[in-house]
Amino acid sequence: MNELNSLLGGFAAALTFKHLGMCFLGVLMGQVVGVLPGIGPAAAIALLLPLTFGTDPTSAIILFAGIYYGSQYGGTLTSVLVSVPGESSTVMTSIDGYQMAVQGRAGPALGIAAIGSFIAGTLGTLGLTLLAPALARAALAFGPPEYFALVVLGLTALAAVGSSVMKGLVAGVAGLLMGTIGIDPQNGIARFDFGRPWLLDGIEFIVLTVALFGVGEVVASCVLAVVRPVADVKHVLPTRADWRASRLPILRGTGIGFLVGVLPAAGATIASFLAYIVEKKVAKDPSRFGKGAIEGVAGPESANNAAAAGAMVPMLSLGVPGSGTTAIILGALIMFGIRPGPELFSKNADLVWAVIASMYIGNVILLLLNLPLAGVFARLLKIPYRWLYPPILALCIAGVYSQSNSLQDCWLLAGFGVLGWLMKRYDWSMAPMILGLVLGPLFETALRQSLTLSHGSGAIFITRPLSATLLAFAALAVTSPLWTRIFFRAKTV
Amino acid sequence: MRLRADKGELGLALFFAAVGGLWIFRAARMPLWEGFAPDSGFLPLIYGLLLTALALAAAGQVLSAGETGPTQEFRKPLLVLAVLIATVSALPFAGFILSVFALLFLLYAVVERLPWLNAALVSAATTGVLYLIFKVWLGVPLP
Repeated sequence: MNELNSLLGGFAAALTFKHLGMCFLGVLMGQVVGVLPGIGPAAAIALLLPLTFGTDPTSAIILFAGIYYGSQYGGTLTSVLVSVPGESSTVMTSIDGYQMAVQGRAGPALGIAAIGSFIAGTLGTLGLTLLAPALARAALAFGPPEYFALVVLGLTALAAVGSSVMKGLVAGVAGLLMGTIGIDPQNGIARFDFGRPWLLDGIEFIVLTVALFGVGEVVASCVLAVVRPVADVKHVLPTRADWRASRLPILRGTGIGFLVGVLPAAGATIASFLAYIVEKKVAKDPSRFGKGAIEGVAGPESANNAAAAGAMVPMLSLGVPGSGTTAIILGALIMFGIRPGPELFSKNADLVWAVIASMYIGNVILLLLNLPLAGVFARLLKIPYRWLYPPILALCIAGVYSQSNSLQDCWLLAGFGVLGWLMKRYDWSMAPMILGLVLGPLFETALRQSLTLSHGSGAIFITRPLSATLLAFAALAVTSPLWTRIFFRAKTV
Repeated sequence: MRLRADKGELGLALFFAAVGGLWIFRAARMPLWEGFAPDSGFLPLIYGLLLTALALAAAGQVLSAGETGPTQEFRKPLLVLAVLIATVSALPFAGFILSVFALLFLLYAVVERLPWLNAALVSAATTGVLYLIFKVWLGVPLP
């Protein structure tokens, strides 16, 4: 009942003209960046950070959340129409979605993807409404050791989401290490400033985020020159037979997606992969898959949207992001002076519930945008990337400079841009670096407070049940490739 | 210019290892422990050790994977980065408008080889929009 009242309060806030506008703008931009090549939701949020600096945090987080889940819809268009997944979570959609497009059924493929995404997004947000406050309440007993363990879990889980846990951990530790640049908040000692006074304030979250996700991604993607032929989009509304075939896959995909999304080390890509496998397993004729089966679109599309809502559960209730984009949203919360974690639901309840309510509204807007306007968005695919990336680079420079009117920040932008390009090029996950930088101070403070409490004994982290559990999950996340290998070996024997 | 992908990745891993080494070197000179709790140098030292160890392990993974990876285009990204660095260098004396216009024009006309007139028009329009957003709307004192 409490949650219902809070949610109604959230709707009252989200339905104001300003927040509604931000929600619309967010989902529209998410849809567009999902379609455009070479720029993802993480980069879009990174580029908008300087513009939202100093504005109302609720509006900004509504905008960022809209970009996040809106991009899941947009990524589908490229998967279906040109067989190039806009997001990694839409890889599975491209298998049958593109085959449907080849057979002249691009419209129904996009239609069922939009309807499935709407149902999954709405049910996933309902799950978020019910689960996140309960989880946050349970986590209110957290003390410094638990916060320490939470940061360890957040970093390891995010590292495990990428292509290699090892590379993800390198990025995470590098982020923590960068967080030590500047004045030590505990005793005022200058650390790692290398004699440069402008480094005493440390490295700004915005500078690193824009450099890695803006410059790095743009430079890595500037070699994209090919414009592929785009299939025509007609008759977006699915037929009755399409709907009958897709009902259960949508529901199964929603369940799988939400559960996988809530797990810190999983994510939308794994969710859509699992949903596809499940649909193929339960199908009467599995040989249809890969040749244009609509269930192969409905299941994975529902799963990745439910996972996007699910990933907001640990992010909002514990401060543990489940993906690169949610890591940046978490950083944005800190930028606005809001401490993420279990206290978010009690200390910033207005913001959290307005964001959750905006997700319900955003899903409706996305459905309305996608059914009649799928063909219009499809035309964006015809814009060559060579026209897009120079303005993005210019925006990166202006945005980073405007943050503190500092030319040194522009040099950091160029330096970290080179690093971001190399990381993107070699598939090193960049999000853990951002998370390490933003959570570094919290991590150091929690460690110091914990050890002071325990008179210098590290046993405090494993003798407290909650802390030990979180660290056990972190160990599971780090060893996840091993477990996955054992699981698949057992399946094949 | 085409380089083998794994050499670049090896360089990236070794760069992280070197940064870790630098942190170890400097953190070791700081106070490490005070009373029951770590002092300023403790965590940077741990981070440095961890980063060096993990980056060397990642370098080992790259080496063990061999040199069979596909070769990748390096020329265009390096050109784009060179234009970006030149723009940042020019900002203090050429100012925002001229530097950003030059960035856009060079990328469109030289790197992408688009028609000069189109490149100039789009560059001017984009620079104007950015100026309006940052200088007029947000009141940023652009250089």
